[in-house]
Amino acid sequence: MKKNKTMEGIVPWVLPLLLLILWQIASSSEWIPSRLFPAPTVIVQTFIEELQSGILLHHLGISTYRALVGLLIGGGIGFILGLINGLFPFAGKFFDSTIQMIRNVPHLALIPLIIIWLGIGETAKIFLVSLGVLFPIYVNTYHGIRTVDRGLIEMGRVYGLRSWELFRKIILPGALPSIFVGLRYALGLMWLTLIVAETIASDSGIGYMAMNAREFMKTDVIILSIIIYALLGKLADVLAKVIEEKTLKWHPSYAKQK
Amino acid sequence: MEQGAGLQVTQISKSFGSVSVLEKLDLTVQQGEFISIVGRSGCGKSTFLRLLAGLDEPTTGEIQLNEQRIKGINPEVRVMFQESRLLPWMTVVENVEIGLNDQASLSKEEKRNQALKMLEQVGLKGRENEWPHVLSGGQKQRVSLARALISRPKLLLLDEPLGALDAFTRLEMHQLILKLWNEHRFTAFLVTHDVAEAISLADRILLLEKGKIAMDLPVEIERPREREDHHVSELETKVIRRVMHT
Repeated sequence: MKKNKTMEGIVPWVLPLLLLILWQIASSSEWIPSRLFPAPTVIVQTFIEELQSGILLHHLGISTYRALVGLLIGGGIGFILGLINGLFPFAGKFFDSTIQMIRNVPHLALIPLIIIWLGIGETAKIFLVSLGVLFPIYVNTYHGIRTVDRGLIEMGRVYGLRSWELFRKIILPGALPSIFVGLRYALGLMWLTLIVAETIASDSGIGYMAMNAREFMKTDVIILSIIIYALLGKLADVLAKVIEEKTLKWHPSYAKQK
Repeated sequence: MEQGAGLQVTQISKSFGSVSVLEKLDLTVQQGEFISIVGRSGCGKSTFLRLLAGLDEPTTGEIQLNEQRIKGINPEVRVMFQESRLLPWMTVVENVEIGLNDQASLSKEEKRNQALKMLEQVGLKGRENEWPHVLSGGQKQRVSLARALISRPKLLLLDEPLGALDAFTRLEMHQLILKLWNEHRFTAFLVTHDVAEAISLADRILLLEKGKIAMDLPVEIERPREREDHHVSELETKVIRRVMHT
Protein backbone atom coordinates (compact mmCIF):
# COMPACT_ATOMS: atom_id res chain seq x y z
CA MET A 1 0.00 0.00 0.00
CA LYS A 2 2.62 2.47 1.12
CA LYS A 3 4.92 1.64 -1.72
CA ASN A 4 2.08 2.29 -4.11
CA LYS A 5 1.57 5.74 -2.64
CA THR A 6 5.21 6.78 -3.04
CA MET A 7 5.12 5.47 -6.57
CA GLU A 8 2.05 7.53 -7.27
CA GLY A 9 3.84 10.58 -5.93
CA ILE A 10 6.81 10.04 -8.23
CA VAL A 11 4.98 9.27 -11.47
CA PRO A 12 3.99 12.84 -12.45
CA TRP A 13 7.59 13.99 -12.10
CA VAL A 14 9.15 11.38 -14.34
CA LEU A 15 8.42 13.05 -17.67
CA PRO A 16 9.60 16.57 -16.72
CA LEU A 17 12.75 15.08 -15.26
CA LEU A 18 13.44 13.06 -18.42
CA LEU A 19 12.93 16.15 -20.57
CA LEU A 20 15.28 18.12 -18.37
CA ILE A 21 17.98 15.45 -18.65
CA LEU A 22 17.49 15.26 -22.42
CA TRP A 23 17.77 19.04 -22.65
CA GLN A 24 20.96 19.02 -20.58
CA ILE A 25 22.57 16.36 -22.76
CA ALA A 26 21.45 17.92 -26.02
CA SER A 27 22.69 21.32 -25.04
CA SER A 28 26.04 20.43 -23.48
CA SER A 29 26.94 18.15 -26.38
CA GLU A 30 26.10 21.03 -28.77
CA TRP A 31 23.48 18.79 -30.34
CA ILE A 32 21.32 21.91 -30.29
CA PRO A 33 23.12 25.29 -30.29
CA SER A 34 23.73 26.18 -26.65
CA ARG A 35 23.63 29.84 -27.59
CA LEU A 36 19.91 29.45 -28.33
CA PHE A 37 19.15 26.74 -25.77
CA PRO A 38 21.49 27.15 -22.80
CA ALA A 39 21.70 24.01 -20.67
CA PRO A 40 19.72 23.86 -17.39
CA THR A 41 22.98 23.95 -15.45
CA VAL A 42 23.91 27.23 -17.15
CA ILE A 43 20.54 28.71 -16.23
CA VAL A 44 20.99 27.68 -12.61
CA GLN A 45 24.42 29.33 -12.71
CA THR A 46 22.92 32.51 -14.16
CA PHE A 47 20.27 32.41 -11.46
CA ILE A 48 22.93 32.32 -8.74
CA GLU A 49 24.95 35.11 -10.37
CA GLU A 50 21.97 37.40 -10.82
CA LEU A 51 20.87 36.67 -7.28
CA GLN A 52 24.28 37.55 -5.86
CA SER A 53 24.57 40.77 -7.84
CA GLY A 54 21.18 41.85 -6.46
CA ILE A 55 19.81 42.63 -9.93
CA LEU A 56 17.31 39.79 -9.84
CA LEU A 57 15.93 40.75 -6.46
CA HIS A 58 15.67 44.37 -7.56
CA HIS A 59 13.57 43.49 -10.62
CA LEU A 60 11.62 40.85 -8.72
CA GLY A 61 10.75 43.37 -6.03
CA ILE A 62 9.52 45.92 -8.55
CA SER A 63 7.42 43.38 -10.43
CA THR A 64 5.85 42.04 -7.26
CA TYR A 65 5.10 45.57 -6.09
CA ARG A 66 3.33 46.40 -9.35
CA ALA A 67 1.38 43.17 -9.28
CA LEU A 68 0.20 43.60 -5.71
CA VAL A 69 -0.69 47.28 -5.94
CA GLY A 70 -2.55 46.63 -9.19
CA LEU A 71 -4.40 43.72 -7.62
CA LEU A 72 -5.31 45.79 -4.59
CA ILE A 73 -6.63 48.74 -6.59
CA GLY A 74 -8.34 46.84 -9.40
CA GLY A 75 -9.54 44.02 -7.16
CA GLY A 76 -10.80 46.51 -4.60
CA ILE A 77 -12.76 48.48 -7.18
CA GLY A 78 -14.14 45.30 -8.75
CA PHE A 79 -15.15 43.93 -5.38
CA ILE A 80 -16.88 47.13 -4.27
CA LEU A 81 -18.69 47.54 -7.59
CA GLY A 82 -19.76 43.90 -7.41
CA LEU A 83 -21.08 44.42 -3.89
CA ILE A 84 -23.00 47.58 -4.71
CA ASN A 85 -24.52 46.18 -7.86
CA GLY A 86 -25.33 42.88 -6.21
CA LEU A 87 -26.93 44.42 -3.14
CA PHE A 88 -28.87 47.24 -4.76
CA PRO A 89 -30.86 46.23 -7.84
CA PHE A 90 -31.04 49.82 -9.06
CA ALA A 91 -27.25 50.18 -9.01
CA GLY A 92 -27.03 46.88 -10.88
CA LYS A 93 -29.36 48.17 -13.55
CA PHE A 94 -27.52 51.47 -13.75
CA PHE A 95 -23.90 50.24 -13.85
CA ASP A 96 -23.80 46.67 -15.02
CA SER A 97 -24.32 47.00 -18.76
CA THR A 98 -21.75 49.81 -18.97
CA ILE A 99 -19.22 47.74 -17.06
CA GLN A 100 -19.93 44.76 -19.31
CA MET A 101 -19.26 46.93 -22.36
CA ILE A 102 -15.90 48.09 -21.04
CA ARG A 103 -15.10 44.53 -20.01
CA ASN A 104 -15.29 43.45 -23.63
CA VAL A 105 -12.44 45.73 -24.63
CA PRO A 106 -9.23 43.67 -24.45
CA HIS A 107 -7.31 45.69 -21.89
CA LEU A 108 -3.95 44.94 -23.46
CA ALA A 109 -5.13 46.71 -26.62
CA LEU A 110 -5.04 49.90 -24.60
CA ILE A 111 -1.26 49.77 -24.19
CA PRO A 112 -0.39 52.26 -26.98
CA LEU A 113 -2.95 54.70 -25.62
CA ILE A 114 -1.79 54.22 -22.06
CA ILE A 115 1.83 54.90 -23.05
CA ILE A 116 0.76 58.18 -24.61
CA TRP A 117 -1.40 59.12 -21.65
CA LEU A 118 0.69 57.90 -18.76
CA GLY A 119 4.16 57.27 -20.21
CA ILE A 120 6.04 54.13 -19.29
CA GLY A 121 6.25 54.83 -15.56
CA GLU A 122 4.75 52.92 -12.68
CA THR A 123 1.30 54.43 -13.12
CA ALA A 124 0.88 52.91 -16.55
CA LYS A 125 1.76 49.41 -15.40
CA ILE A 126 -0.34 49.58 -12.26
CA PHE A 127 -3.24 50.96 -14.27
CA LEU A 128 -3.08 48.08 -16.72
CA VAL A 129 -2.86 45.44 -14.01
CA SER A 130 -5.76 47.05 -12.14
CA LEU A 131 -7.84 47.03 -15.28
CA GLY A 132 -6.97 43.39 -15.91
CA VAL A 133 -7.98 42.12 -12.45
CA LEU A 134 -11.02 44.36 -12.02
CA PHE A 135 -13.42 42.48 -14.25
CA PRO A 136 -13.03 38.89 -13.10
CA ILE A 137 -13.41 40.00 -9.50
CA TYR A 138 -16.35 42.24 -10.35
CA VAL A 139 -18.22 39.64 -12.36
CA ASN A 140 -17.80 36.90 -9.78
CA THR A 141 -18.62 39.09 -6.78
CA TYR A 142 -21.76 40.35 -8.50
CA HIS A 143 -22.78 36.86 -9.50
CA GLY A 144 -21.97 35.45 -6.06
CA ILE A 145 -24.12 37.99 -4.27
CA ARG A 146 -27.02 37.64 -6.63
CA THR A 147 -27.10 33.88 -6.30
CA VAL A 148 -27.05 33.66 -2.49
CA ASP A 149 -29.89 31.34 -1.45
CA ARG A 150 -33.03 33.50 -1.04
CA GLY A 151 -34.31 31.05 1.55
CA LEU A 152 -31.36 31.77 3.81
CA ILE A 153 -31.89 35.51 3.53
CA GLU A 154 -35.56 35.10 4.40
CA MET A 155 -34.59 32.93 7.36
CA GLY A 156 -32.19 35.65 8.50
CA ARG A 157 -34.97 38.23 8.34
CA VAL A 158 -37.30 36.05 10.42
CA TYR A 159 -34.56 35.85 13.05
CA GLY A 160 -34.20 39.60 13.13
CA LEU A 161 -30.91 39.97 11.25
CA ARG A 162 -30.76 43.52 9.97
CA SER A 163 -28.78 45.01 7.10
CA TRP A 164 -25.16 44.83 8.29
CA GLU A 165 -25.54 41.54 10.13
CA LEU A 166 -27.49 40.05 7.27
CA PHE A 167 -24.63 41.00 4.99
CA ARG A 168 -21.87 39.76 7.30
CA LYS A 169 -23.49 36.51 8.40
CA ILE A 170 -25.37 35.45 5.28
CA ILE A 171 -24.73 37.37 2.07
CA LEU A 172 -20.95 37.69 2.15
CA PRO A 173 -20.19 34.11 3.24
CA GLY A 174 -22.68 32.89 0.66
CA ALA A 175 -20.94 34.83 -2.09
CA LEU A 176 -17.43 33.88 -1.00
CA PRO A 177 -16.95 30.71 -3.06
CA SER A 178 -17.77 32.67 -6.20
CA ILE A 179 -15.53 35.58 -5.17
CA PHE A 180 -12.62 33.18 -4.79
CA VAL A 181 -13.15 31.88 -8.30
CA GLY A 182 -12.82 35.49 -9.44
CA LEU A 183 -9.70 36.01 -7.36
CA ARG A 184 -7.89 33.02 -8.79
CA TYR A 185 -8.80 34.01 -12.29
CA ALA A 186 -7.65 37.57 -11.55
CA LEU A 187 -4.28 36.34 -10.29
CA GLY A 188 -3.61 34.69 -13.62
CA LEU A 189 -4.56 37.86 -15.49
CA MET A 190 -2.47 39.93 -13.11
CA TRP A 191 0.80 38.20 -14.09
CA LEU A 192 -0.16 38.04 -17.75
CA THR A 193 -0.86 41.76 -17.90
CA LEU A 194 2.31 42.59 -16.05
CA ILE A 195 4.48 40.44 -18.32
CA VAL A 196 3.11 42.11 -21.43
CA ALA A 197 3.32 45.60 -19.97
CA GLU A 198 6.87 45.13 -18.73
CA THR A 199 8.03 43.55 -21.94
CA ILE A 200 6.67 46.30 -24.18
CA ALA A 201 7.46 49.40 -22.22
CA SER A 202 9.51 49.44 -19.08
CA ASP A 203 12.87 50.15 -17.57
CA SER A 204 12.67 47.73 -14.67
CA GLY A 205 10.99 44.52 -13.61
CA ILE A 206 11.34 40.92 -14.71
CA GLY A 207 9.86 41.65 -18.12
CA TYR A 208 12.40 44.38 -18.68
CA MET A 209 15.15 42.03 -17.54
CA ALA A 210 14.12 39.59 -20.28
CA MET A 211 13.85 42.27 -22.99
CA ASN A 212 17.14 43.76 -21.98
CA ALA A 213 18.79 40.35 -22.17
CA ARG A 214 17.49 39.93 -25.70
CA GLU A 215 19.61 42.90 -26.81
CA PHE A 216 22.71 41.01 -25.70
CA MET A 217 21.51 37.59 -26.84
CA LYS A 218 21.61 36.35 -23.26
CA THR A 219 19.15 33.52 -23.75
CA ASP A 220 19.90 32.12 -20.30
CA VAL A 221 18.54 35.29 -18.65
CA ILE A 222 15.46 35.23 -20.88
CA ILE A 223 14.67 31.65 -19.97
CA LEU A 224 15.35 32.42 -16.32
CA SER A 225 12.83 35.29 -16.48
CA ILE A 226 10.22 33.03 -18.00
CA ILE A 227 10.78 30.41 -15.31
CA ILE A 228 10.47 33.07 -12.61
CA TYR A 229 7.18 34.24 -14.05
CA ALA A 230 5.93 30.69 -14.03
CA LEU A 231 7.01 30.24 -10.41
CA LEU A 232 5.40 33.53 -9.35
CA GLY A 233 2.16 32.53 -11.02
CA LYS A 234 2.20 29.15 -9.32
CA LEU A 235 3.01 30.74 -5.96
CA ALA A 236 0.10 33.16 -6.22
CA ASP A 237 -2.24 30.33 -7.13
CA VAL A 238 -1.07 28.16 -4.23
CA LEU A 239 -1.50 31.07 -1.82
CA ALA A 240 -5.01 31.74 -3.07
CA LYS A 241 -5.83 28.06 -2.71
CA VAL A 242 -4.59 27.95 0.87
CA ILE A 243 -6.66 31.00 1.82
CA GLU A 244 -9.63 29.49 0.03
CA GLU A 245 -9.36 26.21 1.90
CA LYS A 246 -9.04 28.00 5.22
CA THR A 247 -12.01 30.29 4.59
CA LEU A 248 -14.26 27.71 2.98
CA LYS A 249 -13.60 24.83 5.32
CA TRP A 250 -17.36 24.52 5.87
CA HIS A 251 -17.86 23.74 2.19
CA PRO A 252 -18.49 20.06 1.44
CA SER A 253 -16.02 20.02 -1.44
CA TYR A 254 -13.19 21.25 0.79
CA ALA A 255 -14.03 19.24 3.86
CA LYS A 256 -13.22 15.95 2.17
CA GLN A 257 -9.55 16.76 1.79
CA LYS A 258 -9.07 16.69 5.53
CA MET B 1 -44.95 30.56 33.47
CA GLU B 2 -44.42 30.99 29.76
CA GLN B 3 -47.58 30.97 27.75
CA GLY B 4 -48.25 30.64 24.09
CA ALA B 5 -49.91 33.43 22.21
CA GLY B 6 -53.62 33.70 21.56
CA LEU B 7 -54.47 34.63 18.00
CA GLN B 8 -57.32 36.57 16.53
CA VAL B 9 -57.62 36.58 12.77
CA THR B 10 -60.23 38.98 11.46
CA GLN B 11 -61.47 39.00 7.88
CA ILE B 12 -58.09 38.66 6.23
CA SER B 13 -57.78 38.46 2.50
CA LYS B 14 -54.67 38.17 0.43
CA SER B 15 -54.38 38.54 -3.29
CA PHE B 16 -51.45 38.65 -5.63
CA GLY B 17 -52.42 40.91 -8.47
CA SER B 18 -55.83 39.71 -9.59
CA VAL B 19 -55.39 36.26 -8.05
CA SER B 20 -57.12 35.96 -4.72
CA VAL B 21 -55.45 33.43 -2.44
CA LEU B 22 -57.23 33.98 0.86
CA GLU B 23 -60.77 35.29 1.18
CA LYS B 24 -62.08 36.90 4.35
CA LEU B 25 -60.68 34.39 6.75
CA ASP B 26 -61.75 34.46 10.41
CA LEU B 27 -60.08 32.41 13.11
CA THR B 28 -59.63 32.43 16.86
CA VAL B 29 -56.88 30.40 18.44
CA GLN B 30 -56.45 29.76 22.19
CA GLN B 31 -53.15 30.17 23.94
CA GLY B 32 -51.01 27.08 23.59
CA GLU B 33 -53.24 25.41 21.04
CA PHE B 34 -51.74 23.14 18.40
CA ILE B 35 -53.37 23.72 15.02
CA SER B 36 -52.82 21.77 11.84
CA ILE B 37 -53.73 23.24 8.51
CA VAL B 38 -54.34 20.73 5.76
CA GLY B 39 -55.39 21.23 2.20
CA ARG B 40 -54.42 20.61 -1.36
CA SER B 41 -51.56 22.39 -3.05
CA GLY B 42 -52.42 25.96 -3.84
CA CYS B 43 -55.18 26.23 -1.24
CA GLY B 44 -53.40 29.14 0.38
CA LYS B 45 -52.05 27.38 3.47
CA SER B 46 -48.45 28.50 3.04
CA THR B 47 -49.60 32.03 2.25
CA PHE B 48 -51.61 32.05 5.46
CA LEU B 49 -48.52 30.98 7.40
CA ARG B 50 -46.44 33.71 5.79
CA LEU B 51 -49.01 36.28 6.92
CA LEU B 52 -48.82 34.94 10.46
CA ALA B 53 -45.03 35.15 10.30
CA GLY B 54 -45.19 38.74 9.17
CA LEU B 55 -43.27 37.89 5.99
CA ASP B 56 -46.18 39.18 3.90
CA GLU B 57 -48.94 41.65 4.69
CA PRO B 58 -52.60 40.81 4.26
CA THR B 59 -54.37 42.80 1.55
CA THR B 60 -57.23 43.51 3.93
CA GLY B 61 -58.09 42.49 7.47
CA GLU B 62 -55.82 42.05 10.42
CA ILE B 63 -54.16 39.48 12.63
CA GLN B 64 -53.76 40.05 16.34
CA LEU B 65 -51.24 38.24 18.46
CA ASN B 66 -52.14 38.58 22.14
CA GLU B 67 -54.28 41.58 21.28
CA GLN B 68 -51.44 43.23 19.35
CA ARG B 69 -51.68 43.66 15.63
CA ILE B 70 -48.97 41.77 13.71
CA LYS B 71 -46.93 44.21 11.73
CA GLY B 72 -43.92 42.77 10.04
CA ILE B 73 -41.53 40.28 11.56
CA ASN B 74 -42.01 39.65 15.25
CA PRO B 75 -39.48 38.08 17.66
CA GLU B 76 -42.31 36.22 19.41
CA VAL B 77 -42.99 34.28 16.23
CA ARG B 78 -40.57 31.74 14.78
CA VAL B 79 -40.81 29.70 11.61
CA MET B 80 -39.54 26.26 10.75
CA PHE B 81 -39.29 25.94 7.00
CA GLN B 82 -39.63 22.99 4.70
CA GLU B 83 -35.87 22.99 4.16
CA SER B 84 -33.77 23.37 7.27
CA ARG B 85 -32.19 26.63 6.03
CA LEU B 86 -29.12 26.24 8.20
CA LEU B 87 -26.18 28.44 7.35
CA PRO B 88 -23.62 26.02 5.89
CA TRP B 89 -20.71 28.24 7.00
CA MET B 90 -21.65 28.11 10.65
CA THR B 91 -21.30 25.16 12.99
CA VAL B 92 -24.37 23.51 14.46
CA VAL B 93 -24.19 25.49 17.71
CA GLU B 94 -23.61 28.79 15.91
CA ASN B 95 -26.68 28.10 13.82
CA VAL B 96 -28.74 27.61 16.96
CA GLU B 97 -27.38 30.88 18.36
CA ILE B 98 -28.91 32.70 15.38
CA GLY B 99 -32.17 32.15 17.25
CA LEU B 100 -30.91 34.43 20.01
CA ASN B 101 -29.75 37.08 17.59
CA ASP B 102 -32.26 39.71 18.62
CA GLN B 103 -31.58 39.33 22.34
CA ALA B 104 -28.88 41.92 22.78
CA SER B 105 -28.80 41.62 26.57
CA LEU B 106 -27.27 38.14 26.50
CA SER B 107 -23.49 37.73 26.60
CA LYS B 108 -21.71 35.46 24.14
CA GLU B 109 -21.19 32.88 26.84
CA GLU B 110 -24.82 32.83 27.89
CA LYS B 111 -25.86 32.42 24.28
CA ARG B 112 -23.49 29.51 23.85
CA ASN B 113 -24.71 27.82 27.04
CA GLN B 114 -28.34 28.19 26.09
CA ALA B 115 -27.64 26.88 22.61
CA LEU B 116 -25.88 23.82 24.00
CA LYS B 117 -28.79 23.14 26.33
CA MET B 118 -31.25 23.50 23.48
CA LEU B 119 -29.21 21.09 21.36
CA GLU B 120 -29.37 18.59 24.18
CA GLN B 121 -33.15 18.95 24.23
CA VAL B 122 -33.41 18.04 20.55
CA GLY B 123 -31.07 15.09 21.06
CA LEU B 124 -27.97 16.45 19.37
CA LYS B 125 -25.63 16.66 22.34
CA GLY B 126 -22.01 16.39 21.26
CA ARG B 127 -22.65 17.42 17.65
CA GLU B 128 -22.33 21.16 18.31
CA ASN B 129 -19.09 21.72 16.46
CA GLU B 130 -19.97 19.92 13.27
CA TRP B 131 -20.79 21.53 9.94
CA PRO B 132 -24.43 21.20 8.82
CA HIS B 133 -23.50 19.30 5.67
CA VAL B 134 -22.44 16.22 7.63
CA LEU B 135 -25.86 15.93 9.30
CA SER B 136 -28.75 13.83 8.00
CA GLY B 137 -32.00 15.48 6.92
CA GLY B 138 -33.67 14.70 10.23
CA GLN B 139 -30.76 16.02 12.25
CA LYS B 140 -30.76 19.23 10.24
CA GLN B 141 -34.42 19.75 11.07
CA ARG B 142 -33.63 19.14 14.73
CA VAL B 143 -31.07 21.93 14.61
CA SER B 144 -33.61 24.10 12.85
CA LEU B 145 -36.16 23.31 15.58
CA ALA B 146 -33.61 24.17 18.26
CA ARG B 147 -32.92 27.48 16.52
CA ALA B 148 -36.64 28.25 16.37
CA LEU B 149 -37.35 27.42 20.00
CA ILE B 150 -34.27 28.73 21.80
CA SER B 151 -35.74 32.19 22.25
CA ARG B 152 -38.92 30.70 23.72
CA PRO B 153 -41.27 32.12 21.07
CA LYS B 154 -44.98 32.36 21.80
CA LEU B 155 -45.96 31.13 18.36
CA LEU B 156 -44.21 28.48 16.29
CA LEU B 157 -45.07 28.14 12.61
CA LEU B 158 -44.16 24.87 10.93
CA ASP B 159 -44.28 25.02 7.14
CA GLU B 160 -44.24 21.34 6.12
CA PRO B 161 -40.95 20.89 7.97
CA LEU B 162 -41.08 17.10 7.78
CA GLY B 163 -42.09 16.77 4.15
CA ALA B 164 -38.67 15.68 2.97
CA LEU B 165 -37.99 13.15 5.72
CA ASP B 166 -38.44 9.39 5.69
CA ALA B 167 -41.33 7.79 7.60
CA PHE B 168 -39.31 6.68 10.64
CA THR B 169 -37.59 10.01 11.06
CA ARG B 170 -40.96 11.71 10.79
CA LEU B 171 -42.37 9.65 13.67
CA GLU B 172 -39.32 10.55 15.76
CA MET B 173 -39.76 14.20 14.92
CA HIS B 174 -43.47 14.06 15.87
CA GLN B 175 -42.53 12.83 19.32
CA LEU B 176 -39.85 15.48 19.65
CA ILE B 177 -42.16 18.30 18.59
CA LEU B 178 -44.86 17.13 21.01
CA LYS B 179 -42.34 16.81 23.83
CA LEU B 180 -41.07 20.35 23.31
CA TRP B 181 -44.60 21.67 22.86
CA ASN B 182 -45.52 20.16 26.24
CA GLU B 183 -42.49 21.73 27.89
CA HIS B 184 -42.54 25.16 26.26
CA ARG B 185 -46.30 25.60 25.87
CA PHE B 186 -46.08 27.64 22.68
CA THR B 187 -48.97 27.98 20.27
CA ALA B 188 -48.23 25.95 17.13
CA PHE B 189 -49.37 26.04 13.53
CA LEU B 190 -48.43 23.11 11.36
CA VAL B 191 -48.98 23.21 7.63
CA THR B 192 -48.99 19.73 6.18
CA HIS B 193 -50.60 17.65 3.50
CA ASP B 194 -50.24 14.50 5.54
CA VAL B 195 -53.59 14.05 7.28
CA ALA B 196 -52.24 11.36 9.61
CA GLU B 197 -49.51 13.74 10.73
CA ALA B 198 -52.06 16.46 11.38
CA ILE B 199 -54.19 14.14 13.48
CA SER B 200 -51.36 12.74 15.52
CA LEU B 201 -50.13 16.20 16.50
CA ALA B 202 -52.90 18.74 16.56
CA ASP B 203 -55.70 19.82 18.90
CA ARG B 204 -57.58 21.14 15.94
CA ILE B 205 -57.51 20.56 12.23
CA LEU B 206 -58.35 23.27 9.75
CA LEU B 207 -59.08 22.37 6.17
CA LEU B 208 -58.33 25.19 3.80
CA GLU B 209 -60.05 25.22 0.44
CA LYS B 210 -59.98 27.96 -2.16
CA GLY B 211 -58.82 30.48 0.37
CA LYS B 212 -61.50 29.65 2.92
CA ILE B 213 -61.69 27.49 6.00
CA ALA B 214 -63.85 24.62 4.77
CA MET B 215 -63.71 22.58 7.96
CA ASP B 216 -62.69 23.26 11.54
CA LEU B 217 -62.40 19.98 13.39
CA PRO B 218 -61.31 19.45 17.00
CA VAL B 219 -59.26 16.31 17.66
CA GLU B 220 -60.43 14.94 20.98
CA ILE B 221 -58.26 11.89 21.26
CA GLU B 222 -55.85 11.27 24.15
CA ARG B 223 -52.16 11.61 23.34
CA PRO B 224 -50.06 9.66 22.48
CA ARG B 225 -52.19 8.83 19.48
CA GLU B 226 -51.49 5.54 17.84
CA ARG B 227 -52.15 5.05 14.19
CA GLU B 228 -53.94 1.76 14.89
CA ASP B 229 -56.40 3.46 17.27
CA HIS B 230 -59.77 3.31 15.53
CA HIS B 231 -60.63 6.90 16.60
CA VAL B 232 -57.58 8.06 14.73
CA SER B 233 -58.26 6.06 11.62
CA GLU B 234 -61.93 7.09 11.59
CA LEU B 235 -60.98 10.72 11.79
CA GLU B 236 -58.38 10.30 9.10
CA THR B 237 -60.91 8.73 6.76
CA LYS B 238 -63.36 11.52 7.51
CA VAL B 239 -60.88 14.26 6.70
CA ILE B 240 -59.55 12.58 3.57
CA ARG B 241 -63.10 12.02 2.30
CA ARG B 242 -63.88 15.66 2.88
CA VAL B 243 -60.76 16.76 1.01
CA MET B 244 -61.40 14.46 -1.94
CA HIS B 245 -65.11 15.16 -2.37
CA THR B 246 -64.77 18.65 -3.69
